[in-house]
Amino acid sequence: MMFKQRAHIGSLVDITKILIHEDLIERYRAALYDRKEGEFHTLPPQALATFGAHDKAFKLLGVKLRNVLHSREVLTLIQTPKLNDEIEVLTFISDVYEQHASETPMGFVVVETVGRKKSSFLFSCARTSAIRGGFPRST
Amino acid sequence: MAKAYYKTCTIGDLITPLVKNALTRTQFVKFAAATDDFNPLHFDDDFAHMQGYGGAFAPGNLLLGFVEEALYIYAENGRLIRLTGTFHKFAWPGDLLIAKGLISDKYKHNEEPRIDLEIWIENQNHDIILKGQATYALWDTMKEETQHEGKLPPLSEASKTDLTKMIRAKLAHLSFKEDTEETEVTSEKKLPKKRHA
Repeated sequence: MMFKQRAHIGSLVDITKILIHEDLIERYRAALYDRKEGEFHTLPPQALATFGAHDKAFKLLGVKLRNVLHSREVLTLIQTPKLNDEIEVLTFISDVYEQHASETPMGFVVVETVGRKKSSFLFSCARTSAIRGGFPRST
Repeated sequence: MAKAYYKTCTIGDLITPLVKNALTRTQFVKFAAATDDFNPLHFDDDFAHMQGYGGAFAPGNLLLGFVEEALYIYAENGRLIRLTGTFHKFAWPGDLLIAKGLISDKYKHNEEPRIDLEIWIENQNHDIILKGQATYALWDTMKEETQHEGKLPPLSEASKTDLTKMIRAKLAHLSFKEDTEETEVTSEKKLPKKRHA
């Protein structure tokens, strides 16, 4: 069944500049690590996977956050940004589809993010989210 | 913290399991604050109940972060190149999670010594919460690492080119051109915003 959210495949959702600041590193450390030793002086790579504007992508698709479940993630790293780097993060929708395993459809959205510093690519991340109940038809 | 070297890694080797403290809602909120992603399913029990869940549950990226921490503890001198994870079950406040992994392959790619690992997280009931794979570049030997003053093993130019091509291919599908300067992004919605911690 066709639904109009597929028209957003290939849409650039957001471009954001992020400064890799000490406080940002500390926030991720505080959330992720139980230990308090000072071994971690760099941003945890997993933080990069969260830099995308996923909420904007879901808004564009008319999907409510309460129906979104994280399904799969693929993070590829060329270089981890360093302290005080200012990076640019591009967020785009690379796929939108539905599967019908039962009477209730399940939607899937692949939102990708790419981080770069000037002309050098640093990382990419593809996050697949499951949308409970599929995509709203009225949006 | 430990170091790993290609020469001494063997397929089938297990990494030291990382036993996390019991999950807490506070941790979920801290993660939401770090990521600026405040989905109430991850900290508001009443809201989560209304949506048909048992309560607030852990954000997926938090769990992947635990895996990455376990990998870092196993090979603090390695370079993470790829990390994938598929989520199988929810993790709840109070859950005791253990991140585990084993070396599934070792090989040279563009002359770089690499290992692949199978990774997973179990809860206190031995249910698999998350499964995935990781690829690491390692130094061949401790001697080689010492010669490079303890830096992380570098990516070869060939590998950088391969990965850059892969990213460019993703961007090629956008109407936006990858090499467009910021000033050419004219829509107000698309203007870059500054996010400082």
